[in-house]
Amino acid sequence: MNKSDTPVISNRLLAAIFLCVALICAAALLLINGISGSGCVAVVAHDGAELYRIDLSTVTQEYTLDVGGCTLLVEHGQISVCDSDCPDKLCVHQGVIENSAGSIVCLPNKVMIYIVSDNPDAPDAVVG
Amino acid sequence: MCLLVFSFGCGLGDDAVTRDIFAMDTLIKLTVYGENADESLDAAKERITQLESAFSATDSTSDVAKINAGGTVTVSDDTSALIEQALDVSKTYGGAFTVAVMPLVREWGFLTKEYNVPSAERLKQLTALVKDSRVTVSGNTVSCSEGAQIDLGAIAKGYASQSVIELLGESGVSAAVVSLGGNVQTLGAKPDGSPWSIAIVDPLSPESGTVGTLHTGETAVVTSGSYQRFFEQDGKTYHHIIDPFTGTPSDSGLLSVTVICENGARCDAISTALFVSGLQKSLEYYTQTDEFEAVFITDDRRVIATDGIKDSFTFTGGETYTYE
Repeated sequence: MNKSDTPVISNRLLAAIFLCVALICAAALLLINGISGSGCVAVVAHDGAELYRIDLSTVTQEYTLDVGGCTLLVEHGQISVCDSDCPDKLCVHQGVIENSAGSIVCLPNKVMIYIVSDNPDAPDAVVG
Repeated sequence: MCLLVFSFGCGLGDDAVTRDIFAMDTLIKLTVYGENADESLDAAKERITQLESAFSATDSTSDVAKINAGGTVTVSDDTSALIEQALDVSKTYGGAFTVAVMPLVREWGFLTKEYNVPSAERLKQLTALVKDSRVTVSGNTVSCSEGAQIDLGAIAKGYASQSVIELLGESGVSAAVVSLGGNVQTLGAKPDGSPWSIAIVDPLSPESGTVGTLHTGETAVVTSGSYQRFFEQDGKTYHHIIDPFTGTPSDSGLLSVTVICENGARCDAISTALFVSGLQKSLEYYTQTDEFEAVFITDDRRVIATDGIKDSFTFTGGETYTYE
């Protein structure tokens, strides 16, 4: 090794370190977003009152909630009504919702579930 | 009956005030920008309650229930105006939408949710009753000839959205978006200057999917779709949009049609008329009437936008549909 080689090796070393740090940062960001930052929050309301705001991206283990005759199944990234004592069970048949395009309404039980998003590209309204 | 009212913020901007209401058998979302937001929303809620009490088919004290009980009935200005609008839409669109459809809606059980598949003979009897000529409006009096009954379900929400938008405009609100189930109507322009973005639900994945987004100014947007209300019997699905000519759920080849036009009530009724009419006949109406734009979704998985809306529609349903 001569003196003129030293700066070249150091630059390569620095570049490698910089690349590693960048990769670690990128992975950390992805991990953070994956766990808590997607802005997918389910709002659950019953009979005139908002009862729960659930960040679905933080749900690691599914669980159920009993709300006004409906049983809600809360899972990672999605929510649904898995059982209801209403006559037509339209709320159950609606299946899961996972983004702001969807909402579940059980009129007989006065239960409403919808998802709010902090995504700036989310539409102002959904028709259908 | 208004069942639920509360307020919350929802990602439409810091200056947006939003309120949700359960009424007219659906979820109603009101979002307003500008001054007098809370007062305007209170007034809007009151107006919706007033309209629901007049138009409800199940409330025995409503104008509609009194008309359907028989005889000549004096009704509110709203009810007479709405029936006249409904009769006019029916005339323009060949009767594919009709306010006189109640005997069929009732027979299929969509009113009570006690569903039933009628016999062919029964449907033949009932379709004979489903004629606009059996409904008479004169000033504030309305009457139906024997056996005929009215149903405002396919136009009342549009009338309500139109009424609420007019009320909000008069109360000093600078911009608003009103959503009544499948009906959306906007007022003014968004504070940031961008157009309103209104996504269209994917009829094959209505719980979470969309097929694209409309970018609009002040307008009404209404979707009629076979996925919105239905029941299953003996492995077959029966949806709620009844073809008044056959008496059965419409089988026109459309999964949904989204109509964009100026007036909320007409928009609502036209969406039903086009759904029943099917794609080809609807495109004829598009040329003849010059009063709406539309996005059709067919059962062979095509999405078709009319010429006047193509530049304002962003299609995102490429995995499931082809876009024309």
